[in-house]
Amino acid sequence: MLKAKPIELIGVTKRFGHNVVAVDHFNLSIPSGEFLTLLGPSGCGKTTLLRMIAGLEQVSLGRIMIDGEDVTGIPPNRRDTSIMFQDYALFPHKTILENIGFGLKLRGLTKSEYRKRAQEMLDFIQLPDIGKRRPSQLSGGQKQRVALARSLVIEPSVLLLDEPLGALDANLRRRMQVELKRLQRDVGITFIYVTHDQEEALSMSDRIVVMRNGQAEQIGTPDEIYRAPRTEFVANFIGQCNVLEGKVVEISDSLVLCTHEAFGQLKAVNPKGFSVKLGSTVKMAVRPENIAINDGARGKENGATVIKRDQIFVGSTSRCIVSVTAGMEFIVEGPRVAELANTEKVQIGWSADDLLVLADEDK
Amino acid sequence: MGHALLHLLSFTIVLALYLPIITLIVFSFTAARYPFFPVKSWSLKWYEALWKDQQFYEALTNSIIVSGLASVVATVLGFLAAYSLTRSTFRGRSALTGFMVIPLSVPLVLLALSLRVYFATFQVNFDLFTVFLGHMVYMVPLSILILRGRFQGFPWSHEEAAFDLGAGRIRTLFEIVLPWMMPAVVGSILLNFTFSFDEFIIAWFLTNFEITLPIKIWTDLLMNYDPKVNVIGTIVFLLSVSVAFLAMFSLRKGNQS
Repeated sequence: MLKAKPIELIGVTKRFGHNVVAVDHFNLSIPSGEFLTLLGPSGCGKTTLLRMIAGLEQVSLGRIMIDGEDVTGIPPNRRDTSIMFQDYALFPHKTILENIGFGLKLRGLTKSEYRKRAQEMLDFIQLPDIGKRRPSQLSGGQKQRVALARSLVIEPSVLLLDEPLGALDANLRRRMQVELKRLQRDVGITFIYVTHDQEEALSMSDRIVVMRNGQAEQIGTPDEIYRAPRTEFVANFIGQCNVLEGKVVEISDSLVLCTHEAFGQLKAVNPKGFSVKLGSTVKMAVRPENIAINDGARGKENGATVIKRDQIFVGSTSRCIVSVTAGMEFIVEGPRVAELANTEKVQIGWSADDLLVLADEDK
Repeated sequence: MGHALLHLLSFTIVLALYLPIITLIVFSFTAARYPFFPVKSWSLKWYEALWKDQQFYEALTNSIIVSGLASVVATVLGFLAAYSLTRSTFRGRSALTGFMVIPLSVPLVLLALSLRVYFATFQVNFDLFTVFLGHMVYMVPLSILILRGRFQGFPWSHEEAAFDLGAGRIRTLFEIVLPWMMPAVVGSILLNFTFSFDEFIIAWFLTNFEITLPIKIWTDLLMNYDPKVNVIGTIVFLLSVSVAFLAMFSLRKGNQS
């Protein structure tokens, strides 16, 4: 077990030139040993934030603390962090053993010492025989592990990973997800993981930060983020959601009653307590898998009769697109939707607990 | 049929390009005082004459000193310039790049003349050092162009990975950047060497008594036709070709890896 250290980001801002703000007053505290994922579309600032923690990018404003110590101005070679790049950045003219031993050599270990440690690391990643090879002779998965070994051998307190599985095929990627998660638990250090792949984020993280325009859109456990997305952006970025807009007519406790042109009356819950005003419009989201059809839809608070349009086969379950009115489509998911014929009239319905009020995006 | 014609055409063009050089090599082996076809008798006597020519050795040594030094220094300067011109982003970067390689597009005779005037203004002695400086004006831009090409393919994440693992700038330069750049560095040194070794106009304008090999050839021809010139030409040609081949080989090997 290595020593994990907590990280504190205080108002961290990155500006490029005068107009571009890549990361905007970002605040976050990351407890030691956490697997944290920065998730977002390209250009949301997640990689810039990671590079600032590594020290590869200068902070325009704000502070970065590692273990209570301000490291904002400290160059990357004197930071207790280690970064793993998407292209692995293995040195092509060095052997695998030299690649892994490079960081140790810089820390003053003798040749026999660092070679021994590097070999131990190769045993650890279960590739004991590749020490003499060069990076060009390795497969993608092997390179990935070697890069991981090179980053871990210097015993950092934080490992930063910049889309490390991006270059692997889907099958290998899934295997590596499990492996990375297990490894993180074994070595016990803090992982900060950058990805645009929501599935990766959901399956590996202790906590996810959904980023948008340089800011945190929502921070929470995978379960929280999936079940209770805060905004329309999060709802659509994590899985798929049907988003509705209604006019508020009644508010009682956490229940919000709205009118909707196609569904008539809608009953939604507001568990996060976003401010909702009578007479204003509000956005609500319902997951496709929470929508029941025909018999199952009976007795639900919300619903309508719709027409089935298209079928999307997704393996374990079926998904179909239904049209509610001429211009409005809905996605419904469940084992029984496959039985429906195209253009068949279907009754859909879902309960108030599954229709979540979303935060106003402008705030 | 079309294929054969194409082959014939290509062969003719290559022959036309190399015929003068082949002629020169052939004449270096004649016994006659003046080169004429058909060659009546063969001899190595002009090689022997050159062997005894003290001036030739001096000129050859001068040329090797100037070309060797200039090609290394120009490559070092070009390396640093190309490094910063590709690594950093700043306003006017492409303008600066263009500005730095402009000397390549100036006719050599103008370059030579302006340098002569410039040095004369400051009363600098014209010797091998001024030739060296003059060659640098052309060779530094050449190095920048050669090295910049390879720098543009350098994965900067490698440099960052080295920093991240604890290496400082100098360490990273020597252990990570330089090994990657090596083929282009070798190529740059060799190509610059062939340029400087053959260069006549700048050297002619910028030296008085310490002459380089091309000047020696020129003066030999000017005073009265000396068949040793064919021998020098043959030697210089073979030397330049082998150096140029080495340079190409080095650059190509680099691009493949």
